[in-house]
Amino acid sequence: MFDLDQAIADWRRRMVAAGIRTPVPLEELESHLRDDIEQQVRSGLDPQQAFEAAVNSLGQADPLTKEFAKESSTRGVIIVNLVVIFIAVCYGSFMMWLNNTITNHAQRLLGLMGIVLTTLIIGSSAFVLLLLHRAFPRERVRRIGFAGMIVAVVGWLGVLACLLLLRTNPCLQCGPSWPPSVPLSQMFVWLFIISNSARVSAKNDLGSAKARSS
Amino acid sequence: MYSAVMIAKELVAASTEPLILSLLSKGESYGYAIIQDVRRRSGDQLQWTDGMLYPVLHRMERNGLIKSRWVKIENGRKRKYYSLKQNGKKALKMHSQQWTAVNSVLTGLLGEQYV
Repeated sequence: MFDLDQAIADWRRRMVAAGIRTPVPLEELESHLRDDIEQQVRSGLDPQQAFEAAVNSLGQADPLTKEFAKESSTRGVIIVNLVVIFIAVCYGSFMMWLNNTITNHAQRLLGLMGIVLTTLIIGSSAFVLLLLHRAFPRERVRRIGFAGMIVAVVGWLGVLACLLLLRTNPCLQCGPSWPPSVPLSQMFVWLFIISNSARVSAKNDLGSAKARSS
Repeated sequence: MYSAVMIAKELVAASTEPLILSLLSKGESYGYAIIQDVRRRSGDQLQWTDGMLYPVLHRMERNGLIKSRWVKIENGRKRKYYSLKQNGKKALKMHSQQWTAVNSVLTGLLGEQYV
């Protein structure tokens, strides 16, 4: 005797085994499956045939998992961006600590607030730019995004290397006016965030279009 | 004898988002109903792989075009209903202009062939 609930439980296990980790898509897919089965049974199929037809038209587990995984990778890029922002704030604070002209805690606190505030403002503007990028071809955005990330990482390391060289070589110590390491390195951080977000977003859009047409 | 022509995969992919937005502009709906509605309106010429609709819906929700809520239905089951947000209405307007432009160019060109 066919047990529909047992069959759906087995189907859920197969989907989880294929890699759908988050519960929300699975709940939604199961809801779809039950709607389809009810409809097919009303049309005259027996429950087992209806279940098989519904599973078949819902699609294979692997391509579905890949599509949902792209959604997770978007959440991943947000986490990466937040980590980069955190590093940027720590780095800015460290630079301020190195700066000889800052002598008391109040100034340090004020400087830190300034760094956090500019990070948040420019970080938010990155999302506005992300909306604008949709006007351009996805493949080009993805490539430019990747190139931007490389430039950002190399540039940031370059600023850091310059600074460390200048700090350790007494002949080159130029005081607090040079290098403008904080603004320069922050600029590379923004470049990294924008490039990385644009790259992943464009890649996902490209991937979704390909998957829907395959 | 007329036979139904399946719409090319590329065109299906390109039209998914405007179709979802158009359907949701008539009121909130859920995945299964959206698929059935599109299939019925296209006379079975436009067929999605059912499961592939959901990642698209999730992406549209992430992009702020639509929003969702779980609703309890009879026999204790739940369904996820989607509805348009303000940005979705704007996106629909943009899609509508683009599709109208493409359609008018194509219709004009096809018409010229018989003059």
